Amino acid sequence: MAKNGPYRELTFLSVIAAVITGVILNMGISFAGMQIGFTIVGSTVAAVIGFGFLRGVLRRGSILEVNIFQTVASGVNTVNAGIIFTIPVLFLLGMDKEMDLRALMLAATAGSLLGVVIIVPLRKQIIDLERLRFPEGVATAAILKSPGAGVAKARLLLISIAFSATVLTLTKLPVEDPLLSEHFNIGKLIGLPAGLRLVLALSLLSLGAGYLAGRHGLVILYGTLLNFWVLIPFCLWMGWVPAGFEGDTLSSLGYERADSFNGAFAGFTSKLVGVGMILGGAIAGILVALPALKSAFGSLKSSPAGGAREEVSMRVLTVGAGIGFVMLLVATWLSGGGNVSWGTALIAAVAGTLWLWIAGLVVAQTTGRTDWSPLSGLALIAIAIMMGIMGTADEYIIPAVTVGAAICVATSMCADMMADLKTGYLIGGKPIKQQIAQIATCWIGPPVAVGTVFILWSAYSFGPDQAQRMYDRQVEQGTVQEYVEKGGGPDQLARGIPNIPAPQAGVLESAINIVQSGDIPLGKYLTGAVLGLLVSLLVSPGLGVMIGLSIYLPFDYMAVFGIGGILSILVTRWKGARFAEDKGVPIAAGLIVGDALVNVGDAIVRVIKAGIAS
Amino acid sequence: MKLLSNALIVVGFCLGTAGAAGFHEPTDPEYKAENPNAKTEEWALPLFIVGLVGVVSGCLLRRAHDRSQRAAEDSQTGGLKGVFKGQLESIRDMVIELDEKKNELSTQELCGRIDKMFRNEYFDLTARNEDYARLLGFTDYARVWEGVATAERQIARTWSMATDGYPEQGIEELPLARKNLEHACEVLATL
Repeated sequence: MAKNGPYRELTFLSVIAAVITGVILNMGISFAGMQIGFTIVGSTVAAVIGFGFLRGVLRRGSILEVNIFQTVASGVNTVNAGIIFTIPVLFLLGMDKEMDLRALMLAATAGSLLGVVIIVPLRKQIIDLERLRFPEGVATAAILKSPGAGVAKARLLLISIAFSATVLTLTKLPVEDPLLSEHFNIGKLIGLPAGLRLVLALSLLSLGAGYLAGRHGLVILYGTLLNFWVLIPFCLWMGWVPAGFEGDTLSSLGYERADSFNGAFAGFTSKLVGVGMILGGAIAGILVALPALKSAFGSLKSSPAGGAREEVSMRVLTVGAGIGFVMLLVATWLSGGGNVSWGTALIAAVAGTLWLWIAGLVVAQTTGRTDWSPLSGLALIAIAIMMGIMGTADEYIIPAVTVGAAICVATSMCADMMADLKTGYLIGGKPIKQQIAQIATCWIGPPVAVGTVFILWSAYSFGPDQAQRMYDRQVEQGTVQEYVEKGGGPDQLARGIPNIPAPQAGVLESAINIVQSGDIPLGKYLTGAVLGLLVSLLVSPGLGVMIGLSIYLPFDYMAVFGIGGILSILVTRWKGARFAEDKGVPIAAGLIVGDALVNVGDAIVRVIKAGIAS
Repeated sequence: MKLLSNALIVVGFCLGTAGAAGFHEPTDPEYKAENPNAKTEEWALPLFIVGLVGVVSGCLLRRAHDRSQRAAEDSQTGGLKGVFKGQLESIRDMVIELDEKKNELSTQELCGRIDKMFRNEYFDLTARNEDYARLLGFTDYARVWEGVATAERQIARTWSMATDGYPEQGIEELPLARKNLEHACEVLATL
């Protein structure tokens, strides 16, 4: 039955409710991210919450209003990835007393704003013209469209969500022997040498995302197998291995040491070559897309014929970029604590903004094709560039990491914004409304994420030496006896103190030490870049980016992603493309959503448990 | 020829990556003693260069194969451009019909027709967008495809608004989508 009144899209209610949801997700996922080392994407979860609240509880939300809800909520949430991958390292380096909180907040907010304004002009190129898939964006659209998609599709979606959520819950139950393992070591089962990895993660999210990525999943599989089945065996044979593994072979490595070898090899070779390929591929992508980029920028300057403006104007973006740049400049100078002159701060801010643009493009391409993004690798390069400009002495680490945090926040915002705009494209949302909503609320997430990190540090400490630090604090405060009675010690946390290893901060700490030592392995970055550039220019744009990404990400998840891609190809071949789309997309979307819901639920439970215990 | 070109690219890339893995200070003490200024392992650079040659050769072979295949396609029914034109005009005509009949259709019929168009004609068209980009060159492709993509979004908007119970507001998007598709057809006709 037709309804009266204006159609609800960008409404005050959806924005306010979304901001509250985004703040809660931000805090929970920041905490969980520092525990497990990666963050959980929030768009699908935000879409489910928005759907349930606006359409279920209030019975008034429209499809496009829920889209605005998930855009804002995921935007407020997503900045946590940029914060928890960078700022905690300053605590681990013992620089927490010298940090300027105003500078950190300002830098993070600058990154958030810049991330939105720089990616908006690329919407037409990436979504309309290149038609990148954005698996998470597709999954979110499937949820939003479910009311009108027909009973069959909605049923498939719900069953798939339930299945995925059940499977993941079985791996997370707090029992001694979980009913389902998170990883299956098939290589060990069939007697493969330990150095030839064949471990699959029980990640239905990866399977679903791989299915939606389609034949790009084959490329991901190629990159993963190239690293683990070609490069590692070859380097072991040649002795081109990190220190501590000289003389090891595929068989002699042993299953106990295989994991630590893979981690060390990633830092020694895979990650460096992989990040190089990503950069080379991204540069190739920019060169190929230059004509289309010019027309995309051109169309922003003028109103379209025969209709209202569909995107925010170039003037708004320029003003936003200007404000963001000034904030970044001031943050850089402030964070230097008197060690960074205005001239140096200006150079750093200019270089940072340029790198931010390139990194944003890279991340938009990688998430557009695979849903994965090399955030930490790009943040690492950002910090290295900043230290190159300002200096490698200890007094420049804080400003370098501060700018690095801004860039990392910006790139996570770019990826999220693009996925949300893809969702909007699929359901008919006006890009300008999503862009206005995002620009208006982008400043909210950064202080929440930064504040969460500070609260966690003051309450529980974090990092690889968390137990020692907590013990030392009790000694300083004169409460060590009470702490020991609760089971605490230099090697063990007391009861009720959550374990927060902050692994990404640990990796960044090692990287900063390498930069300070001057021993940056440029050769691997450059050769990787040449390979990435070549295949992207001569074979297919984006190829270098995808292979580079899959070379250093974990085999366990990338292989499953690749299997999802193969599944998509096979289903298309056997049953036809329409069947693969009609049946496969709701199922794959459900797998992603179910996984994300359980992970967020787990994060919230951890926060509540930690709060009760303390 | 396609198999050979792909094999060259895959193997060449593997060799290039293997070579790249050796770009660090040599670990072999004997080689290091003989070449104190060496910055890479002994076989790193040769492997890397062989890999690059393999990738480039494979790409050149593949381009030659694609060119001959396109020529063969062009000699048949109007070629790929003819296919593109036919698909685009078919969608344009469907949207024109939808626009002209929008006040006569029920919400269910309207959404059903849009669903069918998206699952069939639009799906077939957009599934080949990379082929059309290669055919026309990216700049000309962008000039045509801009209208196709904007129209797709506008038609999706009609569907969403109609599904939510606002068909009168939803069908206001149809004339805009029609205009975009007509413009896309006009641009393609000039290329």
